[in-house]
Amino acid sequence: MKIAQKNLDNLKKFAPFLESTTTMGWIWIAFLVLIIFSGFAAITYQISEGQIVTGMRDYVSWSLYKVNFIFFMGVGLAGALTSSVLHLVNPSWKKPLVRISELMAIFSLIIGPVYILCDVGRLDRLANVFIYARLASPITWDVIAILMELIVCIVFLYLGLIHNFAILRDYDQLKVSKFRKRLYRFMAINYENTPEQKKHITWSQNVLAVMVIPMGIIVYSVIAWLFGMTKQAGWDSTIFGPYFVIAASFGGIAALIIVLASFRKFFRFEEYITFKHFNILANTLLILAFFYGYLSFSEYFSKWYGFGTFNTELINRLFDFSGYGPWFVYANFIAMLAPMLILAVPKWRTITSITLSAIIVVTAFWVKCYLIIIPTLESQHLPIQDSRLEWIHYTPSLVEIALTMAGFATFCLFLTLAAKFVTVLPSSIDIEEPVDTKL
Amino acid sequence: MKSNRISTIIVLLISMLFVQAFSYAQEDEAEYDGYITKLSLSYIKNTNNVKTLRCVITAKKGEINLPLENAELKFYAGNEQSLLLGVQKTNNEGFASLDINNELKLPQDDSGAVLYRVEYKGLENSKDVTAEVSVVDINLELSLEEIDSVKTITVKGTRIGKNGEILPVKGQDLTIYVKRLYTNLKIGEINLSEDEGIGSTEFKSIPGDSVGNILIIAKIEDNELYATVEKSKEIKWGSIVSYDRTSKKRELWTNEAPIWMAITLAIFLLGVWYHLVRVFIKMRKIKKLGEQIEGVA
Repeated sequence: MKIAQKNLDNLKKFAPFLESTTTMGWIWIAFLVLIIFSGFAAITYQISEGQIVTGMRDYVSWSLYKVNFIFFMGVGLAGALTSSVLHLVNPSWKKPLVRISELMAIFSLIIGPVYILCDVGRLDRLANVFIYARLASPITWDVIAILMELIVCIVFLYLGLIHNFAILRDYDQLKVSKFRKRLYRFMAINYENTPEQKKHITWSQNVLAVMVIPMGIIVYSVIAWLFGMTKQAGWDSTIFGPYFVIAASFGGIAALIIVLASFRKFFRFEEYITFKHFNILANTLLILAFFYGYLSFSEYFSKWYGFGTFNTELINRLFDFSGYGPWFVYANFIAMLAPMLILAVPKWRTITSITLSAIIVVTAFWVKCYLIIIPTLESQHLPIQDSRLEWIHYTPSLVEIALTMAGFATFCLFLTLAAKFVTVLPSSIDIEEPVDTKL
Repeated sequence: MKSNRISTIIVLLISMLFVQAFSYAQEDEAEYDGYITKLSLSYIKNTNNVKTLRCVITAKKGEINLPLENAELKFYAGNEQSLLLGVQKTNNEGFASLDINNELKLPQDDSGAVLYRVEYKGLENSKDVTAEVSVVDINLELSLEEIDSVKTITVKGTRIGKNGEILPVKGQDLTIYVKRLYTNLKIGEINLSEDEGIGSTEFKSIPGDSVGNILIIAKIEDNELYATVEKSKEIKWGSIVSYDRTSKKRELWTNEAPIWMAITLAIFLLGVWYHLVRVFIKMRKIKKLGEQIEGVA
């Protein structure tokens, strides 16, 4: 009861979220579970029938799965960067953002790589990635970097939650099952908020926060190099690493705004997640929009100006308004201009308008991932003999669409369940004084 | 002047009709229930002197073009007194082929040509579809020799005359190819002489496999008299290409990663795990400190 006593008022406010679920909450969870089950049915069907049930053929051998992989890894990168930067800079308003961005990062890092498993034709050979790992292969770099990033992010989140678990352990009036109480006790690792314990936690968090930033950048750069290290026109670019990192930060910050707005609306966190938080994120989004626009222009302008045969074919395909043209404009121009137009004018800045521009940016980021993969694979260097129209033009199948929806539903379900297990807003109950420590 | 032009056009039109009539491969079509059945026949004689008749049958209605699967096709040789060569069923792509038995004595016309015919009876109430191709059987001899240090490809074309005599194939053009991974690479053309039916061309250096082997192909293609005939030979004329990838250390797909890469990765992994282990030790200390407090309490 010792730690809990300090935060009794806040605990009383937040305990209902942990203790029970409203009818709407159950309906929401059931809806998500239904979508996830459709994804399970789809992957079972794919495994039994083979990848012929997808839209992947000889030309386009990476599909929506790879698009979703890049998308989720990008969201993960933005989540990890936000939480670690906020932890190190330690602004007074950071707390509502920190835990949500940490959770976002971990769930994205878990869901993203699952799509690679969906993309692999022979899952039985998956162990070969480790058994016959070659140090010189970008795929090996990717596996190592993602695993490291995930482990560090989980430990980083856990360190932040120890204090929370100790409070929930000591709060006798919390009406949860005995098993859950025991789980809180186990996870709290005898934390009693002593200066010595706080010092250990702060040191560990600082170290991991410093590690997460370069690791996040490495992970996403390595993903970019999976493309950039090939000779494929459209991917063979020296700026793909920074371009991917900026695009992911851009899309990921927008995703964070949407998640914050959702928590604010559905969990009634108006008191804790305020306009100030949205305003700061909007400024970040605005700056990233300029960087994103600059890198996009640089990437496509140099390709167009160089007039290489295959690059020209790809650029023509991307600007073909009977095909990918509208999507290209949406992903590159509207995504960049929307935040500039909406957020640059102070009068127009409201939580709703910021969330709206975030929705545009997130969807545009997904479309951008699609445009990086699909039209490029449709513009092959080497002709494939006896190729047919359906091999060249990719159309996602119902199986891929179901699995895509299942991924997004899993992300939402994980966030919902996390909010039922721990308090997602640390400021609500964990009132901690800063501790001076050296790294 | 004007009459000259008109006569030239008439001659051209007549010659086009002539070419159509003696085309190496013929197409025929018949309509049934809105579907137009198309049948095409072609002839190829490969390097092992195996003569093959190839046939494709499709049914077309508007934009839909369906291959006819399991269609029974009868192959004949000769015009008036036809000799049944065999019966084949088409596969799922509407394709069927028949190797002609070289032991058979095939009926020839005065020019020495054999008329091959394929028939599809079709469904009840539909018209028969027939395609024909008239071919003079020829042989190609391919010799590869170094003459005065010049690698020379020589081709001789012959055919059997009406009385069994060997006659040269005169003035015929043929193409020389080298087999590559995806398709054949054209390296030259030969025109068979008007007297002996012999022609030659020089071979210039071209990459071969790991021991320098290349496959040289002499081919008459889609010819109105002889259809498609080819002859090929393998020879060590290609420049040797080394496929020893281990010698190229800097490529990403070599088995051996560069040392700096191994060092970078080792530093990265050691750095991460060193700090993670220290964090785990700190967590253990937190637990022990808590146990001590509980013990005191």
